[in-house]
Amino acid sequence: MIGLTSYPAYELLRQHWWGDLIAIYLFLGGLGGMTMLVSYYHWLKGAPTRSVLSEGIGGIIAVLIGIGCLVLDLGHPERAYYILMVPGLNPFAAVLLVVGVIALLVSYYYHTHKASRETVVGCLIGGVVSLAAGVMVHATGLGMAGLYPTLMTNMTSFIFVGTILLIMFIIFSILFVAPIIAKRWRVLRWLRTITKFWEEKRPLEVIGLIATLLGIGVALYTGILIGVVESVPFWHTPALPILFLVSAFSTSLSFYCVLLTPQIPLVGWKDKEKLVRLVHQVAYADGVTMIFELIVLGTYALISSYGPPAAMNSVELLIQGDLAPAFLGGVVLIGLVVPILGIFLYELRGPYSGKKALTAFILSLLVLIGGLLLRYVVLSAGVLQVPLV
Amino acid sequence: MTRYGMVIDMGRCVGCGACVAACISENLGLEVAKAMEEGKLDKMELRTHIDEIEIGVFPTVRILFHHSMCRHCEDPPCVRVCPTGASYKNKDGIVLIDKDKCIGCKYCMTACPFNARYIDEVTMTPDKCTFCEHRVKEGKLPACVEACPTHARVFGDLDDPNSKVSKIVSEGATPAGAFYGTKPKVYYVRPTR
Repeated sequence: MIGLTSYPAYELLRQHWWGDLIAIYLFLGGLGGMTMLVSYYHWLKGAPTRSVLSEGIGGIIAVLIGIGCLVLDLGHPERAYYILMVPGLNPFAAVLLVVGVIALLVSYYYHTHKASRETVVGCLIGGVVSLAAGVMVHATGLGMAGLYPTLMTNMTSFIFVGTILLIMFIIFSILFVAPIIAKRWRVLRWLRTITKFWEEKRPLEVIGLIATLLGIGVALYTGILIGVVESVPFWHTPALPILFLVSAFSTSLSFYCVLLTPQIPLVGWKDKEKLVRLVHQVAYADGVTMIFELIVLGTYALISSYGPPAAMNSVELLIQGDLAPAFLGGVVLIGLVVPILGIFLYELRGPYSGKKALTAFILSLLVLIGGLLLRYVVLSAGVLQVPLV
Repeated sequence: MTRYGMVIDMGRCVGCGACVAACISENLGLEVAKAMEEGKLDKMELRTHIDEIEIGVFPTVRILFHHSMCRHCEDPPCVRVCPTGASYKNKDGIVLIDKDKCIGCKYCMTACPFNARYIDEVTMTPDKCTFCEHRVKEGKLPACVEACPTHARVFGDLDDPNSKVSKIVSEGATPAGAFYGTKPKVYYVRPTR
């Protein structure tokens, strides 16, 4: 007689479907999303415009490259737009309608606060045009008449939710940086004919805040995307989105340092001092964030190492398996420990200097490498616990 | 309303592989041709396959033939995560893939706790067991069920209390991995000796 207990309950299977391109997407999505928080905060605090712009534009480019990686990873990249086929309402129409309503609300706000007639009328016209365009796009299907009315999207899929978040983030980020660019770059001065309607501080504050919240949403979503996968216990934990969010914030600060440092020799002495000080402030914030990240990462790995079996196997892969060099050497040592020690034992001791800014630059590059490797090892260590009999 | 399901009686299975061969013959003609052309026939992934599992403790040991396939869950995670609605459940409870809508994001593959899906090298989209939906529509049995010489695979309507499949389920057949909460509709009868 063979007892039922002798049946193997499950087999462990390492996921191999999502690889390097998705790791890059998760990294750049998180980094790009959180750069808007950094950029917006420094804009509010009156940091040099060039620093705010470089971070803002850099974030948008990072997210766009990330989306490119996601699309390239698809079995059918040419069908990527199928994600946006919303039943009943074309997504492009939805965006235009939302923008239209916001513009009308802003117009009303200006009207009640006695702003100039030109601004009120501008917002009003913008709102009406946007609403009309939304209705037209919805009616015509924007050339997708054969596709858009069909039930092709799924609100419970985090790829769909993420796509909407990414699109909204890019739109609001562009709305935020466009007036600043138009004011600063002579070549793009023509843009002011459009951006003048929201280039004043108050509307820019609102747009920047929305872009920042969407950016945080994008960074969090990169963790939720794989966190909802119940079949991979190592991913299926609330700690993962938090880890990715903290890492995204840390890498966005490092990205800021990397973008700021090369600008130091290009500016006048007054701005130079400002920039050097800014690099050190950002490095300090990054150091504190990385300590927090190390705690979250350690706790996450520790709890996962207690089960279920697939999660235990994932931690084993990270600590003793083929991912150990990338995890222990790349993520923990190069990406966290060395930068933390470098920032607190060297960077923040004594007066600010250009040499120290260069150190911050190098340490920031290490943090970025660590951030990318973190996504790679978490994805690669995904192990399914496949039930047998 | 029908609610199709399957029972696999592992006590009856002799591991002959007729179900696998019937499935390939019925559903995977193009894929086999492509794999033969590329010399990858031995690496070809299948909609259903049988693994040999050694169970017991010496001297009371035996080989168990475990059948892997899509479990056509009532609450399928693959359908929940699919961004385009390409993965869907039809009115008879069969989980299917509309390959024309699929973008190949592989989210369904990571979400399936049963590792039931694989990439079809011809269409570059995921593929899996369909319970031979095209045959069932015509009132036939799935190819694997029809081919099984020992009647180890039983197919039918789980909502019909008089169906053979319902009777075996009511006698104690249970799905594997029920703890995932997806309510699989492929049940197993485990041998006791």
